[in-house]
Amino acid sequence: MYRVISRKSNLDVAGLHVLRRFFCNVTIPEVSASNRYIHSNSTDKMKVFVGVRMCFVALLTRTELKGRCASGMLSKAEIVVVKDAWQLGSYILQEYKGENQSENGIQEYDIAIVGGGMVGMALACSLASSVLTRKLSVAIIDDNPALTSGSGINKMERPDPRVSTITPAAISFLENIGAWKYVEQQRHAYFDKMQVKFALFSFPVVCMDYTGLGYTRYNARDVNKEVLGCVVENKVLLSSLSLCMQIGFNGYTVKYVVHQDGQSIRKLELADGTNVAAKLVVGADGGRSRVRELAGFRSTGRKYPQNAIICTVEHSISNHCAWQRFLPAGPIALLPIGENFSNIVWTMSPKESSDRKAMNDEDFVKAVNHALDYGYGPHPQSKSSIDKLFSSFTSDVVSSNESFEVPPNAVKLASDRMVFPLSLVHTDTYAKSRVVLIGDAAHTVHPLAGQGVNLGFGDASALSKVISEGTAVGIDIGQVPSPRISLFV
Amino acid sequence: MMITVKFIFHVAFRWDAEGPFKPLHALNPTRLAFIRSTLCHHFRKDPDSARPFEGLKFIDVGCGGGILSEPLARMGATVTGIDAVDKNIKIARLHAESDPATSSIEYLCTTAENLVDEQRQFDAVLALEVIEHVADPAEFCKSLAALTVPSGATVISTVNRTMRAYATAIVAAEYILHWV
Repeated sequence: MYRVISRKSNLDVAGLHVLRRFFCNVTIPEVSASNRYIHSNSTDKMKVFVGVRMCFVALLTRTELKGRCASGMLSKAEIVVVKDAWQLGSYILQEYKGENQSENGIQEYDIAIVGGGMVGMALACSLASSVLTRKLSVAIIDDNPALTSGSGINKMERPDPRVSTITPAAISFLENIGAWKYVEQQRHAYFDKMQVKFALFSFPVVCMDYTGLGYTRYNARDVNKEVLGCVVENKVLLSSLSLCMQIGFNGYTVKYVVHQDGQSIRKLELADGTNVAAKLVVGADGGRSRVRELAGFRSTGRKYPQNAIICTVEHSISNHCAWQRFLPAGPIALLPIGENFSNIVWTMSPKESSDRKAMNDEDFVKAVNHALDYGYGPHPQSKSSIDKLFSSFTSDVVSSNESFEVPPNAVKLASDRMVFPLSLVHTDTYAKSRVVLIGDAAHTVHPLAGQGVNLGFGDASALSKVISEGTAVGIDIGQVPSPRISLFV
Repeated sequence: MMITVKFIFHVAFRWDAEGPFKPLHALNPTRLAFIRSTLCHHFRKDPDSARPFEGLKFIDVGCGGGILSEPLARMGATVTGIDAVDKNIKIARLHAESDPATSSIEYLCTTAENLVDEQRQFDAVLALEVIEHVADPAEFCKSLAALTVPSGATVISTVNRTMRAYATAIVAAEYILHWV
């Protein structure tokens, strides 16, 4: 028996769960009021496309097949609600006859990036930096007015607690698109050492270094590199990417389509319009992605029973090492951010996180220092007799000659404490016809390994390459490239 | 021309990359990459340009639904697509209309021989996956040559002649599954 999903032709936001059963495309502005990016006064115009499963297998197959492939016919990404695939066919027919025009004109773009965060902006920069894709028209859709002001960050301000650790691969990507030089003009902190320690005996040890002493050190020179990574504030990254777009690529058509609550969408460089249509919609709108929800991407995952507290602390000395200690409730990480400041990312249970957020500053600093170093046994000694025995077998890396170091003491709190719930989300697929997800919209991960935004930059790089290859051979960029099959030999 | 909902679905079937014509869509990027690099070299065009074939006239013989014609038009060429089956031409025209980059493609329901009689000539003549369906391949090749300007290029492709190709492409894809 097959469940009939919906016979209603007026689907509200709650009814959009039916989209998971079917394929659909996205009309950017015609989405309901709860979308924090797009606000439209005319929610009754929202059309979302859905297929209804019938009760017979043959009809089911034909209906679904027709519906899915018919939607590929829409040369612009749109969400259209229909009761069945036949109604979809009628809608497309009206499109061809030009009967679906709304009162305000539709602005058409090649690519619409929903979400002007670090990953969305990196994709736009990457497209702008490649000769083949430079001429594409791109719209970035975000409700953050700071995107359009293009101001740099005041260096005198204390570091913002929202930071990211950028890996060498991501640094290389950002260099290639021309944004990294702006990062280096602002506050950033390269680090070349990493120490990871486990609080022994009460937590399963995940990785054993050869001494079995519950800590491991990494040095960039182990792998003949200068740095292991760079810690950068998120707003520095964002402003660097924004500067890169404005200064580096004067001839590039990017319109920042900014919306403000209660008003219709404003476009900066054009006359007012309310509808945006694109050949390819990129969902770069973060962990609670609206594009993902509307386009019917299925995802798996779970909420972790943990929250993360992040803040900035100040030391009396400078710090060039990234520290992480795995405690029973969750890891605490200390990341150098420059000028005697470090960033703390401390994962713990939700109850502890609300207690620690409520503490006063001095108590919190004491708690941080305690978590970084005290409890769970004495400091490891780095050279034991076993170690001397094994050292003849292990390669002589720089870090093996470095002894265990105590992390630097936090002297005072330098910012507010922010608490975030943590979860894992992964979509079944990243790309459907005319819609693709990148960054946290496609995959949200735990911050403990510092990989979240780096994966996002990897997505931006990969998508930019795919779009570039498609544009080179003239293929419609909204089409998902099909895997090569070995049928033709 | 009456466009009906049913016809829309015909177009959709032809152009669905996961649908009945999946093998054709799957091999499209590969053959386009080859054509692009070879013809850029032949006509001495800049391969890094987004529209390298600007100013050149191409003809796609046996264009079907326009799966080859549209990318060529996006690469800047002035494309004419011909096919002996009228339904294919209608499908190709309808699909090409939706994108301004491809709406200038000229689709004609005719044969290569007829165009030779009309004395039309093109910089590049492409006949991909056609020659295996033609009654007289030698005559067909003569027509293709006549359509090409003296300094132009003729591109022909067909299925490989190995046992494995016969088993998969001819028997399975063509006869049993009616894919191509």
